[in-house]
Amino acid sequence: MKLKKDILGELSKVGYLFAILVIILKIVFYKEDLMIIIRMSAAFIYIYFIPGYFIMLYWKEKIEFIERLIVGFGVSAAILGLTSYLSGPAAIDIFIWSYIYPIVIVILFSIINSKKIIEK
Amino acid sequence: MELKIGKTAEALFLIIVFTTFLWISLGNLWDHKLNNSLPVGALASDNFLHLHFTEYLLQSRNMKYASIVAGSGYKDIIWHYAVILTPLAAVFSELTGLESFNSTIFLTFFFSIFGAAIMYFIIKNLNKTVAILSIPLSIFLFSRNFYFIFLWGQYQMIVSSFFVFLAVWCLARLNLKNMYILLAIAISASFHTHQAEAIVLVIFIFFYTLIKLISLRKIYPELIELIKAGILTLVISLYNILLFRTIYIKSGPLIDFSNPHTGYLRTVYLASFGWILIILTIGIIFSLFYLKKKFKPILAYGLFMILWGNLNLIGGTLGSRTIQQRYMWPISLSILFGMGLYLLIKVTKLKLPKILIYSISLIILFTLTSYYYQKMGPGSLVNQDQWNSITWIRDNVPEDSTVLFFYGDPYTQEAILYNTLKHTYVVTRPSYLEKFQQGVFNRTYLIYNKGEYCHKYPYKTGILSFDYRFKNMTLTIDRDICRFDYIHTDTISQNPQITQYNRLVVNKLFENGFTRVYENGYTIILKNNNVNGDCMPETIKILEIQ
Repeated sequence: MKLKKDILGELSKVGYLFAILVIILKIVFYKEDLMIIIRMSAAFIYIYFIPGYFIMLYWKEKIEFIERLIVGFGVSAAILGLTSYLSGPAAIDIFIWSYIYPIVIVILFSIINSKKIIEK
Repeated sequence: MELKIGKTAEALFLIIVFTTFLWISLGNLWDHKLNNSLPVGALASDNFLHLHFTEYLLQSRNMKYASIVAGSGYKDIIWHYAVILTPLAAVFSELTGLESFNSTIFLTFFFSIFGAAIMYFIIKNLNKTVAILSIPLSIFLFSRNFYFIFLWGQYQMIVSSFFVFLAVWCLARLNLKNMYILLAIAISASFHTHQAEAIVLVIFIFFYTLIKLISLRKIYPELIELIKAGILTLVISLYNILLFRTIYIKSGPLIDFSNPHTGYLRTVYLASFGWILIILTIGIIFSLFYLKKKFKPILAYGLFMILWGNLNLIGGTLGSRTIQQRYMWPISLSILFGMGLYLLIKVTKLKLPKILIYSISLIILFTLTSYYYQKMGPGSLVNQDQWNSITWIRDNVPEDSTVLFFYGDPYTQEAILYNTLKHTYVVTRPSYLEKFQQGVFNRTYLIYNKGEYCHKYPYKTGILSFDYRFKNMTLTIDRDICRFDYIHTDTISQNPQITQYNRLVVNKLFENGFTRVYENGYTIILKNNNVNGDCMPETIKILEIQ
């Protein structure tokens, strides 16, 4: 129960990250339309940070939140890139894959992480 | 409570650093706009090669075959190049609505900045104060000659280095359960992005493990994890290893000491760090002593990268390969910078609170920025009209048509022409100039069949077997202009005589039945209405140029 509360708390921090990204990008690209910046930040969160967060949950007790978030970004990018390329011979549409990829990762790692908790 | 304040301070510090990096790099380069109408910050051929991959993926929607232009007209060439950044950029473009070239360049900068963030956390695992103090060195990525890897399109190297840093992070955390899986993913991602960086990483891991093994004189738990990571990396990379094995065998020795290294036009040296080199030297000496006490991967990595970057002194083609790795020194050597500063603070015997350490780091960051940073404004190898003509071909020319680029000042940087995504040829510059000087326009020129020939055009012959089209191809030969469906030429050049000549050539083509299909103030595209016929005489005298 406590873990569930912790995870929900952390996920709300991912929401803060979205706001921070919007602010940073709006400061740096101040001549750009806000809607484009919101769309970019949302894309970052959806494609990189949410899958990365769920993958890195596996090491929640050992690695702190910000570090997991940054490293998770890289891990998610690596997995998305590798799976897109290695599915090339099968001519899989990478855009359909990119839309479902975060959902697959979230479900897969929720199962893996819950198994880990049960084992404990 | 104190812990919470500490974490907030750290988050705030990282936000300031991240914003500063993004502002001085892409913010300034793009004049603080995101939706550029042409590839701003693309100043060399390589930039355009990568931009074409992203655009092509947006159109093909899968990574089965390379584009027809990269395949020199072949449609069955296996997609084997630029395989990680491309899907990431294409997906980002699709989700955000950004043009593919904006998306690719944006992500490259983003990865480099996140590389610095990952390095911060690797160093933090050793010592938090050192991590905070190490971060300002990364500002050099966007200063002096270091910056040219962005402007000259070494995008793959930058992204591959990001995955190398991720792998070093995993290496430092290899004691955690199942971390070997992430290590394998990071090494594989680096290998698939740009192999040179991955190979250097593997060499580092090999020596790091060897030294640790010799000093401990026993099999330690991380070694087993490392072996597992190695096996998993091989499994993930098997497809690409098989694909590239013949290329490597045919390319001759990977390192050849009989040939001197070629160097780079804008090489970076340790001296490129200016007076910072003093702190780096202190850091190197301190790290060597510290490494004897604590054999940590990040210390070994920093020292290894400084050694590797200077192996050009040995000579041979090894030199070319080692010099390339220097461009990421602002991140890979940041540990040594942090160690140097840390020692300098230590000798004062002052006990500084963390908040003061953050402040010192930010002051150094801003000082280095004001001292070494030179603002780079918007610029591109092509102008808006040239880019518009290229995208017109991409969007309007039928798929099986051929396009000949006759003349344009920047098109000697030939990768620009990949962005037509059509089977493209280009008149070689010496051949063009010869006829220009004679004041004639010929039907036959030495013409190059554009393509990504470096990897020999692999195509599939079985599930895991490949052959190479290159053995049956001659890319540059005398070709007849009449065989091309479209002819593109710039009608304006920096040389007024060329401008005059090109306009007369266009008039002669009109006289011979070619029709205008696209024109702006700078370029024109003509359609050949007599393909493979006698579309023009053998030689036309352009009298007015004499």
